[in-house]
Amino acid sequence: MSQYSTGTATVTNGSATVTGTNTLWLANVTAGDSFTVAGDGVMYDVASVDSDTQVTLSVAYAGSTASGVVYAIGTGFTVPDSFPEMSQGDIETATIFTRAMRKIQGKFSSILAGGANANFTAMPQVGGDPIVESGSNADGEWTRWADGKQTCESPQTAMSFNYASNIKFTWVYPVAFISTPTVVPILVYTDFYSAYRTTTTTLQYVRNIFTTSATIGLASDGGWIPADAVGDPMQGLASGRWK
Amino acid sequence: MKITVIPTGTPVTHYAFSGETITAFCKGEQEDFDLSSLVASAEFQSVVVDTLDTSPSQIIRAAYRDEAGELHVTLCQGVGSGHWEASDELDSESYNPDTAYVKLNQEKEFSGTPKVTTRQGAM
Repeated sequence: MSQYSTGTATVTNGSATVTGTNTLWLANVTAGDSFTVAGDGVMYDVASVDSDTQVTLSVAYAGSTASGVVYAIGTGFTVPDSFPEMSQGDIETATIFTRAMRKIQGKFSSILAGGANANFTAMPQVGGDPIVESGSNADGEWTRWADGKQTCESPQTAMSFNYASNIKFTWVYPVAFISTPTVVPILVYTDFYSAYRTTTTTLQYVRNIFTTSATIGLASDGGWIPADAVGDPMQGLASGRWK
Repeated sequence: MKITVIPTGTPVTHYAFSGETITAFCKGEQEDFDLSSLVASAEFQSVVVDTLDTSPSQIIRAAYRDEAGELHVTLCQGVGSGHWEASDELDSESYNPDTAYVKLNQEKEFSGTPKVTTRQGAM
């Protein structure tokens, strides 16, 4: 049974102190348990257990003063949310049920209100997928959302000399897309100049865009030598869908 | 042969070694890649995929032979959420296909559950 109800209790209107007769509250009751007088319909939190025959409620008793009354102290609660639990043989079950429902309603309301009460310990899911998931590996960083959107960012990567008007690298995305993404090339200018000052025109490009890789490069009007490829790195951004 | 394992999005689950031939296992298929013809200082050419349905860069990322004649190969291990970093270099003879060689960086925040793939599957 999740209630302790041995003996009787004496309650006083306006007082938080409850006195017991033939009770063993020290061994059977702890602070946070719920005290109720049979037929009262109101539950009170136990603030402290002072002795085998005295507990103190968290607020003053609001009912009528009475002695030798049947009482129950609820000791069963869910973990970690402390909703009251019921067991066979409990009394005042309607009161317990109402208290549990109000606590659950309060919990939901606080979650919907956001803030610290909506601070999940694990990422919530939508349709079995985390709302947001992220990571990085040798091929860059990525983020994906439960609605199927995914973005990837490559590391800054040195290019390879292809021929006099083209230096490039192949970017394997850190995670694959389900369909061809949109890829944007970025030249990371780090004050390397031998190529970019001697060629009149350069063009950042992306081609061979697949679901797992793309080629990113820098085209010019010619005149580059292999040493130029070790200059400024390039980077890629890809945006598309993972499902 | 010395190998370094880097974290990637590869579907290759594991490798096996025989001399200077590497066998890659992927989606129930396997394919051999003989690197014995790679001479010292030669530039590694991307593997030509005949059987495995994945990007060549996701099978063998790089390879070179040092002046002492030893091969150094960069292989891939599939990872999911989490910030993953490359393994230390190890002997291919000590390679265990059930081991996660890539390392999770515990100091960088990410969303989701860390995942790495071995012969046993994702874990």
